[in-house]
Amino acid sequence: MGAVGNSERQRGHELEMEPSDTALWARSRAGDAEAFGLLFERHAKAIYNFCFRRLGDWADAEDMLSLVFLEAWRRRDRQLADDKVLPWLYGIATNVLRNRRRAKRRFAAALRRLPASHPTPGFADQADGRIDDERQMREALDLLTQLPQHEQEVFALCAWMELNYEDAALALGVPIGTVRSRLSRARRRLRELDSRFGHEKGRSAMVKEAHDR
Amino acid sequence: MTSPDLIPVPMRELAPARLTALKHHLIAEVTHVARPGEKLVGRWSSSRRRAFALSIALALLGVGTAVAATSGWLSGSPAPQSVVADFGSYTPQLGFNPDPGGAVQVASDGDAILYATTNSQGSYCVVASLPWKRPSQNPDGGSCVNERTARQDVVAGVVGGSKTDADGNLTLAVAGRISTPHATSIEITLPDASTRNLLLGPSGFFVLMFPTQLCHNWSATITALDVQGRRLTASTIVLERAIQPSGTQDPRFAVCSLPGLTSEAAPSVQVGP
Repeated sequence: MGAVGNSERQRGHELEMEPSDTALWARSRAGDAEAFGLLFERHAKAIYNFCFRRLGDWADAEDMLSLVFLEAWRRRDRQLADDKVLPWLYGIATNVLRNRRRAKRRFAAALRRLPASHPTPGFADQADGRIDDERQMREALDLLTQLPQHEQEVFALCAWMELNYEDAALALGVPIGTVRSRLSRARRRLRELDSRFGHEKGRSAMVKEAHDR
Repeated sequence: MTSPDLIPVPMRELAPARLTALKHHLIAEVTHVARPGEKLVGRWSSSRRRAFALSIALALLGVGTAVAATSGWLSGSPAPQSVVADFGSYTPQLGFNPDPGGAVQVASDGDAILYATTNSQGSYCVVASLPWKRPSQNPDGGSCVNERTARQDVVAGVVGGSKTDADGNLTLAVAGRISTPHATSIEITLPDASTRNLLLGPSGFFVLMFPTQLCHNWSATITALDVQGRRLTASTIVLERAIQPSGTQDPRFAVCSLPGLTSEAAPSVQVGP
């Protein structure tokens, strides 16, 4: 049996126990950088992909990923409900993306110290795919950015990252009803924009995909 | 159906090595922040930086220069079991008693990973995991540094070399530690006189691999730099010696001496201005 606060994972016949987000966050709040590093490892992919979906650039998304976690550490006095670390990180990411310039200024020194990125064999093979991603994402963002900022944020969290209303509300610091109404408005506006622009080939990857389905 | 929700962009992973590098960077950065709400060291005001430097200087005055001997100074992510076992296999007759359970990862460079732990002699020991020598397959107990050497601002040594090919080419791995306050990176001269810059890992350790040829008389100049790239300390350390056997002047027969970080063959260190 695992200790309280730890979760178990079965791998074949082997039982692995790993600390839950809640346990890691409690340790991070006490100043445990290693615990915070484990949280980073666990949620880097989600935040990295969220940042990409808001920026349309993998390299920028990587920088933002670091900024999000540096900002989260700065705010680690925050008490979080059980299993709400990831939604809260999405909230931090939303704020960091909204105030990119300020975040970059705040952590300028840390950004300068970011280790240089070298192409990794195997992952380099994905380079073409990543370029395609960026092209498609920018087309999607061309459309999305015509919406008000708060609708873009709700849409990105709920539609692209598949957060439920409750978690999106936590991330954005708004009532659940507000999330519902903003998402509904965002979808309606996107449908209107789609009918205006979406039939031009390549105008929006987001819409194009929807037509293909 | 027209739904704008879906985009044809997959969820992508960061390359594992990149994820690890970013994680280490994050841990190194956040360990500079003492309390929630504080800004990172790079954003401290000049007065706070001066106050911090003063407090460090006072602390050093108070405890002498035995920074390396202070327990609790070593930080990093926990080492895997194979490294713990490797440290556990160290031969105490060599003069040190490493603490295997305290082993942590302290630096990396591509496939080279450096682990360190403290020892009961008041200094530290290192194990390097290198592409041609992994602790799980070729444990050797690691190397320990004596207390006097550990107190130097700059410590370095060759921690491994790959097999040479027919032309004498090989990869060397060098590791070390900078204990100069505020040092965040180093510049090191390589045998071919080129230089490399490296970020320091947690607790000031570094490791690097580079292709070279045996055998040189190589004294590496290692310069410790602060976050603004200002030079803090420079040391020249003999890392490779070509010893010509008697009876021949042919350089192909030179014996190469690669001083390690061990107390038995501690590198000579000259702390620069």
